[in-house]
Amino acid sequence: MKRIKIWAIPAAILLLMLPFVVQMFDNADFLLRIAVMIGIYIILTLSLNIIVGYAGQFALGHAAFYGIGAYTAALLMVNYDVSFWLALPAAAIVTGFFGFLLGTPVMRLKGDYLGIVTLGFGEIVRLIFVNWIDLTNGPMGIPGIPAPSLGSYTLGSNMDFYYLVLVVTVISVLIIRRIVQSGFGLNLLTVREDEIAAESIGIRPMKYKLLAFTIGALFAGVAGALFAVTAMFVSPDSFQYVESVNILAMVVLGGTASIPGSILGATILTVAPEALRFISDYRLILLGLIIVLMMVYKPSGFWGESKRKRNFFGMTGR
Amino acid sequence: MTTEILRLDEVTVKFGGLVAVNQVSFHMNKGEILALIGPNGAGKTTLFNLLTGIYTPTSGAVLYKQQVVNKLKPYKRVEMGIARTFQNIRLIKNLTVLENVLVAHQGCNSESVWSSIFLSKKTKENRQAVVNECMEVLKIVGLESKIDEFAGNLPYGEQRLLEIARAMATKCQLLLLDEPAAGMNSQEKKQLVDVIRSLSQKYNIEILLIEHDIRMVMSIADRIVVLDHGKKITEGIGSEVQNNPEVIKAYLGEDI
Ligand SMILES: Nc1ncnc2c1ncn2[C@@H]1O[C@H](COP(=O)(O)OP(=O)(O)O)[C@@H](O)[C@H]1O
Ligand SMILES: [Mg+2]
Repeated sequence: MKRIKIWAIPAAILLLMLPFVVQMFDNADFLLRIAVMIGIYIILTLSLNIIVGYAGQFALGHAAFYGIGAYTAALLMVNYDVSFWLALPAAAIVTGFFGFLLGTPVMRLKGDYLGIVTLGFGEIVRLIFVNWIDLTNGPMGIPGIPAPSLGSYTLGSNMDFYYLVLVVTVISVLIIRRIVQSGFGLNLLTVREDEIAAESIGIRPMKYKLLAFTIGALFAGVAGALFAVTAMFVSPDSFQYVESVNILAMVVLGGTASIPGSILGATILTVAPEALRFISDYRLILLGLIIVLMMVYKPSGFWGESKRKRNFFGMTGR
Repeated sequence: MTTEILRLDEVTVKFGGLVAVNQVSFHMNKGEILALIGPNGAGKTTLFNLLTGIYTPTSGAVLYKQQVVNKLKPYKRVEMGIARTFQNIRLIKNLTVLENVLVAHQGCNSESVWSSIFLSKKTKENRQAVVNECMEVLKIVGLESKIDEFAGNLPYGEQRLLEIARAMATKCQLLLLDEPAAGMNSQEKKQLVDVIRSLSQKYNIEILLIEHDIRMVMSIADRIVVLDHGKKITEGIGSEVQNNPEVIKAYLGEDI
């Protein structure tokens, strides 16, 4: 029953050894920082993929959920001395709750309308971060987010952050995989493809779209909390509209409704801008170009669902 | 004790000025195979959409199991045991054959997100049981060897059979088939007739069938209801209907 893929062991060793390998370079901290961001973006991309890829709901405000998670964790840790290990699930739950609240009216909208409303939501949330100065400290952001501690050990270095993000990312990937490789995942794909067919076999489209939106928001909250604690600082600048576009581009590039696709898309689009610093002025144009080109020429992405393991239900009929 | 399972009482459906279904009444008995025939545009599909809750009647009442279901949502009617196929096939093309059937099974909808995440032994057993039940209907329609193919890659006739299997996976009591033989050759039609018969016998369900092939209708239907321009022009057993002058008039120029 239990079979571990042959590539899993070397991959695990590589991921565990990476911080030590990286020490050989003189920009080790910078490289670790990129690795941390890859992990955070993998969670973000997967969470958006549940909404966009599986449920087929074209949402454009994912940075808002990312931001709500980050601010929730930051405020709890800075203002109320809450431990990171509590702030992380709290951020997830609060963000999931916002997803539920927003999803209730918004999931009734279709296509462009949904895109525009979620875009507006993203801007409103950012404006709240900027303007509710009593709570959020406005554009100055919240500095001094304390490092998490594990017993008497404080996770304060970039290497510590790397392992923290690695663990949370791996757990998130495994949980999301279980969530989508299930009847729930099949229901989402059915709703995405044909709501009338879905209703004809007893599926309530609204229920599943809302659940997808809530779960997607919840994991964006996890990513937000990781960002807050590893950057040790949050400000509205990190949660602009371009961030939503960035995450969407990762989903589209890697492939909709595909977990390996999301991991691939997040990795490429986190590394590429760093490697190609000189084009940073054109980042938004390039992201737009990627989304348009992919949608036109390779709508299922580089590792899309055509490569998925058949039978999401995880069982065999033979 | 009544054996009546479905009753339409003077049901009318209007689309603006167009009366698609006009004061239609008929009933179905337990275990019956009833055929609904009539020329194109007669209102047959509209009647199906009415029975499955896509439309609500402008006037009149639909009773299922002695209960008025006029305003019940589609998913509620599935819960009550009404399932259907579509005239223009509505399979999920990029899901596999087995997945298309699984997703219609109650056990696939009722698993909570928590049990998906923890995936206990119990959950796995439940899933396997769901798969086994779905395999059973797939065997009846003869698609058990194609479960891993994408639904969109099946030939037309098999897609129609798969739609029937999907509807059956909801554990329906009343099965509505909208032109299931459309586009099939005579060999496939024969197989379809066998499938319909064995479903009717094995599960003791009621089947309401829209079909143009009059020979096929005669061979499997217990009774026939004829619609034309939204009105019921007659109902009865095969030969009565076939020789009815109004039916012949409605079909004038068409093959009957
Ligand atoms: N949603 C709709 N809006 C307007 N007119 C419709 C709609 N659905 C069906 N009709 C009309 O109702 C009539 C009956 O259609 P239908 O039930 O599909 O006929 P049949 O299935 O018997 O061929 C047709 O004239 C059709 O154009
Ligand atoms: Mg029709």
